[in-house]
Amino acid sequence: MNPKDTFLSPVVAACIKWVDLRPELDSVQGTLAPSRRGGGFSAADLSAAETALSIAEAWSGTAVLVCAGPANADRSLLEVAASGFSRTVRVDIPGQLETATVAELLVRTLGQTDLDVDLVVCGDMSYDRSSGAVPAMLAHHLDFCQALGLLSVEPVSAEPADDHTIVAIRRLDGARRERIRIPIPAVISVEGGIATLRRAALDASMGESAHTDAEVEVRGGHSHGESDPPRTTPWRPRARTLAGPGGESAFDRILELTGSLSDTSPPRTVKADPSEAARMIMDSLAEWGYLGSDD
Amino acid sequence: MIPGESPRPEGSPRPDPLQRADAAGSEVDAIVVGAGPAGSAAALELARNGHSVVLLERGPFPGSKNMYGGVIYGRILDTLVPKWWEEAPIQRWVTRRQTMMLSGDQALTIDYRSDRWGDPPYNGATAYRPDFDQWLADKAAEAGARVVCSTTATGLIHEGEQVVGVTTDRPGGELRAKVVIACDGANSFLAREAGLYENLDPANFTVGVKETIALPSEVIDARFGVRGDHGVDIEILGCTGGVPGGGFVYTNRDTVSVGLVLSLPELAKGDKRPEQLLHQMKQHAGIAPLVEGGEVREYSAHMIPEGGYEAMPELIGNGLLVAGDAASMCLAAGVWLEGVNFAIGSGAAAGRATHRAIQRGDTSAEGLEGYRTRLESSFVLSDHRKLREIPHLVMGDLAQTRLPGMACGVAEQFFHVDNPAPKPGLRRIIRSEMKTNGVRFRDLIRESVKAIRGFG
Amino acid sequence: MSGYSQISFETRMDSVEFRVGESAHITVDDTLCRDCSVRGCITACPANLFVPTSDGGIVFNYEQCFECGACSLACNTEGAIDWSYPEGGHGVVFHKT
Repeated sequence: MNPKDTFLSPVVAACIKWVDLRPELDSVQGTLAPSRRGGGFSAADLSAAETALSIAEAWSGTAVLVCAGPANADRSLLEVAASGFSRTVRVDIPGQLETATVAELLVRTLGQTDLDVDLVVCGDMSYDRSSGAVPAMLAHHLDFCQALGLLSVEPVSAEPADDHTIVAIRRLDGARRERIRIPIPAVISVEGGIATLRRAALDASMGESAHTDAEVEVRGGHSHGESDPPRTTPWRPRARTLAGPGGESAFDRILELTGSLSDTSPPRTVKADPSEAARMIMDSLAEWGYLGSDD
Repeated sequence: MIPGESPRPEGSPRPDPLQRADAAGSEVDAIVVGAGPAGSAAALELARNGHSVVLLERGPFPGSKNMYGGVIYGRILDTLVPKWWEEAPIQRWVTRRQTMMLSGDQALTIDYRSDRWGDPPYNGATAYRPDFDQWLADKAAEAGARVVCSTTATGLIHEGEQVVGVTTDRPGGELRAKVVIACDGANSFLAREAGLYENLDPANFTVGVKETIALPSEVIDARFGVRGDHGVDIEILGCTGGVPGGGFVYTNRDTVSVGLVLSLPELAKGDKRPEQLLHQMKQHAGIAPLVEGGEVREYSAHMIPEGGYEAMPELIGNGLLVAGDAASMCLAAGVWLEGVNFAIGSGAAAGRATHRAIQRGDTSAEGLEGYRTRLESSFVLSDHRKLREIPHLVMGDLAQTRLPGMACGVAEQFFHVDNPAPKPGLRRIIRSEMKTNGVRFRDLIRESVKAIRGFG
Repeated sequence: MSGYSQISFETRMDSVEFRVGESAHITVDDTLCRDCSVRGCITACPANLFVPTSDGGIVFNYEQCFECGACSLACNTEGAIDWSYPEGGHGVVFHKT
């Protein structure tokens, strides 16, 4: 942590995402409303923060905290920062965005020369049902190595500092594990529960609440105009009306419903070139009533 | 970091906030433990008078551990936050107060309403405590107090007879101060540790349980007969299934809170659990139409120090003051159920007394004696002293079951039309109901005299 | 919307947020409970954390504790229940109380 050798000391960034941990479900309307004070970080993100701190310690490097989230993330962000991060940057992301957009905005900050990040540690999933693909996209954009969903992370020091590596364990099929060595620069993601974030010392916690606004650097502002259209409902096929079964007796109606004893057109096999085949599939679907007439 | 200050060089350690704030080193003027209404009021007073104050809160945010029985009487805030009603996170202003007595399937309600209570400066208000307590703690923070959440105070640091700080559960968690103000709630471990709570008696405590039930605000307006931001508070007697206590129902914007307050030792002796008793009350014909069809949004429980004046601990130690629930300052006197106002009142008095003591350079128990004088000259201790007999009276068997039974019985016979039989005389009705409910005339006289004397 | 059935205790407790800490803040010395005839903790605990066992002991949970302190005050066997506050930032978190 000596300021003189920052050139040699690696920078480890914990990259986390602020999420609403307890959104309120309206059970009649089926809508989610944000909770007033339920914001925070997933267990995986908190374990990433601890992992970043202990790697930075082992390498005598610097730990920085980068968070994607809106302005009201600052309170909980500063609590995490008080555990020992020397710098806290929030990438301003006002609402729900597509994974690719989030990754791009984070890269804009992580790739900045003043941060000069050597290792990015992410949680392997957040609680807001998103894709979990951000760490991989970060590695792609930053052109770093990647190792995702790690179960244990062990920093290995070397001379010069550029040769530091991480020895990690990740899951394979059949409950097997593989042990891998990752050179830096790299992006890694860790599972929740592999580490518990240390409690911040009292004096750091007191500093955290002294001048809240000045301590978080806000970067990469995502202008509200370019926000992705919100996904409000899941896609689903349209409803269609089916006539009820005819027939006098219940027995007749069941016969009709099940199609027993009635003539059915036997399956047929056709050979056609792709465009012709596609047309025939569409025709059949329309004939059977799966497509509306305007499709 | 102070805005405008140049950013510190990269990689340099975070400056020690204590050194930055206080040239003296690792000591502040005052530590306030607990960011509830008492603690925030104390910290606000001290910070305004230019003292360095740390306000410790064990929850992740102020109010996260707090729960109450419904109404905040805000006038005590007038001196602390002028025009508080324009900014405080209030759910509804109470313009309708009811006292309901239940017995069997009967209910007798005394209903008072006044729309004047819906205009500034208002009378009572309902609010969610996490909202309200956070708001008040933010006021203290704006005045310069340092609010430190997620930090449990684990004990006191003594130097001889003098309390000189607290230990916390954080690494490097010792913090020193000239005065510690314990606003750490009903269980006040700090007051107990300091030996101020000599006669801790379970009989002075009740357990409060509450459901917050979601209903559309128009439904609440219609069921409770109010409009806009006006609301209702109902105190209920005779609804606790034989366990001494009481019930309450009050309205928030789009939820209704319904709960019970139950004598701790009697609850422990019985075989009914709190949520069963609460369910029983919710099924009473007087309550069910108010709450049915709603979804339980949150269930909560808390302990209430109801003993009043007689049950209070020593309020002052050397370098230590006790305020709010920690000092047993809930007023549970039947028709009055108040706590937040007493917490704010006592907290603010503790803050002012601490300010004076630090100014004079004497923070011993003697130097802090101004706290008691301030409390005695304000409503906090004068109300408590005046009403000190009432908690026992309300928890007594007469008020709990026999009186509600008799009152409902009298009302039933008085309003019941039993033609062709002629109406019975009121005197006869009262006499027969007293007999049915086992209320003896001399008990009634004795308790009435006590009540009149007690209520002053 | 008529009728009002009782919700299960689990549903009731599901409405409350608990940030469960790693270490228990309640401990019960249930050798003392075997001689206790009152067992006030069982009915007094609003979170129903104390459960009697067939052999006369008490099993307890700490995870869904409201932190009211009723158990330790109601316990009339000195020292059977040791109750304190959970680590800062953990335990019950109220939102609409």
